[in-house]
Amino acid sequence: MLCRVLRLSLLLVVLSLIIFPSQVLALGLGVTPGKLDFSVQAGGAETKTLNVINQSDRESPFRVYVEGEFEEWFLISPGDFTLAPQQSKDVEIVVAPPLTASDEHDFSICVVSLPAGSDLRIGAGIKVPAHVQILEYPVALILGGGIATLALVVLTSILIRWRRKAHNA
Amino acid sequence: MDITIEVYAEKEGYIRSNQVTVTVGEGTVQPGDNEDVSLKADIIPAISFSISPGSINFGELGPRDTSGPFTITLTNEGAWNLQITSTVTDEAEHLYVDGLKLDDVKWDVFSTTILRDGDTDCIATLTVPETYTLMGRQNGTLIFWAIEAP
Repeated sequence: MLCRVLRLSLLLVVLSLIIFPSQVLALGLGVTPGKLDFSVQAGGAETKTLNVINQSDRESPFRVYVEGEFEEWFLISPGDFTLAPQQSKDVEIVVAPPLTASDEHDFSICVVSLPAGSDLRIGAGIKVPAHVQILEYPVALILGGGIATLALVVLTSILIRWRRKAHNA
Repeated sequence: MDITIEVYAEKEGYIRSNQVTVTVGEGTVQPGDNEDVSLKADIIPAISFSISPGSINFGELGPRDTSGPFTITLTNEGAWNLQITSTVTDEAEHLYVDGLKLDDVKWDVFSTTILRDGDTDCIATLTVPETYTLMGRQNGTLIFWAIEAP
């Protein structure tokens, strides 16, 4: 009799694992590095890599996106992917501020895993702070480039006039 | 081969005041100049955590009912201390958004810190509003967010 009860209990445990797997399995994720610092010139671009690991005991979907005032500066590839247990993936984070950008800005790179299910689904997310510093173009370089361009224009016009005079003579 | 080596110093006008016994063992093999030294390190993520279970079924509830406590375990598996907060969404006329509590506070003010190698239990309860109109299974999502603890 005791043996039958034990056998029935074991069967119920196995059945509950099959019917309600999401209620017993753990969900987990990890990222490294834990913060990102970008130093980029306006109009330029800089790329960093964020490693995402699935620490769940099941295959899980992942989504990576940016929160912040100028989130359109970012390009994330891939933004959506699925990882097997203990599998990891390198995600490329590209920041490309426009020519009009300046100063320093803070963002959050959000990595979230939310497996499919019903009732109240539980997901895990990590927010990685990202600091973007917009580098100023060196003033001397800009002035030097401007002066050189002006000198080239003046020299060219002088040369054209001199050749016309020579031609007319 | 066993050898005995006597090491001592002598100086005129001085006498030997101490004696040191040196035992020579088998020794260990030291890497030579051109030999590689094996280096190993097991690197863990800066921020990493796990949650168990993966979903909650609060069971059969009616308006004015509060569910029994449901334990959610949060475990820090990364190198840094973590601060955990939560967000809730639903398509169930705000059943979870309005009625979910974590550790006796509404989910949007819930916050807990988990030190490295630590874990914590979080108690979830759901209260169904008195005027709630929907029936049947209602779905929602609860996301726990981790950031480096300040």
